[in-house]
Amino acid sequence: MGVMKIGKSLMNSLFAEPETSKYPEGGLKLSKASRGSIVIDEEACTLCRLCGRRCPSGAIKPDRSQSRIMIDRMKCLVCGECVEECPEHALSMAREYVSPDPSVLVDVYRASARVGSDSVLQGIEMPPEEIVSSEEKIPAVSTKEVQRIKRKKKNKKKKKKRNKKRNKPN
Amino acid sequence: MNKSMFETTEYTSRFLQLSEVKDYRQLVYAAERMYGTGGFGNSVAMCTALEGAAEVVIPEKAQYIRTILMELSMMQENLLRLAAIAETLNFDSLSMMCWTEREKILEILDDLTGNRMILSMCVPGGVRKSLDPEILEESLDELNVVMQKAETIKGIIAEDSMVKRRLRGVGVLAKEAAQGSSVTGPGAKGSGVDIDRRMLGEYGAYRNLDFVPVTETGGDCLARCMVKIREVIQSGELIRKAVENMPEGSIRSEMPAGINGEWIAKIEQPDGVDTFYISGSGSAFLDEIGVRTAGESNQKIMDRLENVTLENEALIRLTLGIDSCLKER
Ligand code: SF4
Ligand code: SF4
Repeated sequence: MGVMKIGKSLMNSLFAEPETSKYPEGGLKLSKASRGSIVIDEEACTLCRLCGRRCPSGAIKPDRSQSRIMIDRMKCLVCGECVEECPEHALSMAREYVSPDPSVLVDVYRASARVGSDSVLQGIEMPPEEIVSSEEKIPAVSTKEVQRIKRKKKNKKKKKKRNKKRNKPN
Repeated sequence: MNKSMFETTEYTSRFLQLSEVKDYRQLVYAAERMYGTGGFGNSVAMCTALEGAAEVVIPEKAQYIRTILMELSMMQENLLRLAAIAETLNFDSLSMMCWTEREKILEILDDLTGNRMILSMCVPGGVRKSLDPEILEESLDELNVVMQKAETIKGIIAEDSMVKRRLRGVGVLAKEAAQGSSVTGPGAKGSGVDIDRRMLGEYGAYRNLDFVPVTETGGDCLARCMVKIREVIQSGELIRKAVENMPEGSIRSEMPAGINGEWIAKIEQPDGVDTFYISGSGSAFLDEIGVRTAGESNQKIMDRLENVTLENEALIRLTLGIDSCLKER
């Protein structure tokens, strides 16, 4: 009886398809309701900054002074708050996957800069810490740490030299 | 201080810290991320509290959608807990069975909402989007398969001699002790106490679905495992009923710009009752916010259990739902 049971489950497991897919070899399978990614229509955007105020993670940053809009794909939750909020319908969700490239900090789009033409939206102030352009991004390691790493490298070089000297045949 | 207790307070406070700089709409997303495997319950709790404080009544259809997603989320989580318990028992094939079924439910959630675990579907005033009826039909077919498998898993837990030898009579919580303590969820239900926040109909559409909580009388780890797997089956039935009775209409009500008032929301999660308290005085930023998760209230029961040994401690903690590694971030 027990052997039959074991045999049955063994056969089932041997010939069953795996439940999960191999990624990236097996390719990406988007689900039916996949949210994909945020697409920015640069022509339509008036840089009103409402999306930036609404975004829960601070991923989307319209920058009026430089007339551009930036989105940090690593931070974006694809929640759709900004899409709902945008009065110009400049944002939408496309059913495609934009791979967040960790080496690129933010995707920058140059907006068509109708700055100031929107009288309704004047007077809304963004908190200053929200506007950080990509050039001003703080490096992930602090300056002290950088110095420490540099010192280590120097020390290593010195050691190598010393070793070389020692190993030289007289 | 107990180590896991310390972690709990530490981690929850990170969310509390965020509440100083984020407004109430953004906080729902933070609340959802506090709980890695089943954040949807947290977002429902947060939204229920916000709606209660703002005296907003959300549309019936939104309640039904929340119920369906909540039950799917509970199902996958209960299966995850069972998989972890089976792993602790060194019963790997049972563990893998649970993982496989859980994967199917995650796929259903992915097809319905676009996300697998952290759904981002619950917003103050309703839900983000409606569920596609066609996909919902297909999901019900898929759910039938899962339910059949759940019956098999239930049979294994109830009959397998190895499982019984390891779980029966371990960490017994008497009914009187359970009634006189803060324990909720499978800990209480396994001891024959039928408390469940879903019965009260404070959130979701449970009032229209003839909901009766599952209970067992053993009070030991086996009874608590049986509660978990029976809850999986019950969730499947609730989903089917909710899909059949789903009304038409809007899915969102208008929320005011600021929250004026206070509210406590209590939500049934697989481990017990999660409590969210919020209060505000008319601005979009909340004045006060308090969270008590099920793990915290279940923790206090450990000294009232009978037959606790070192080798069984992991099992007892898993079945009672005291696992700070899975929750309370
Ligand atoms: S809300 Fe729309 S129009 Fe306004 S800044 Fe954002 S994308 Fe541009
Ligand atoms: S989808 Fe959400 S997280 Fe992403 S940019 Fe929009 S509001 Fe921010």
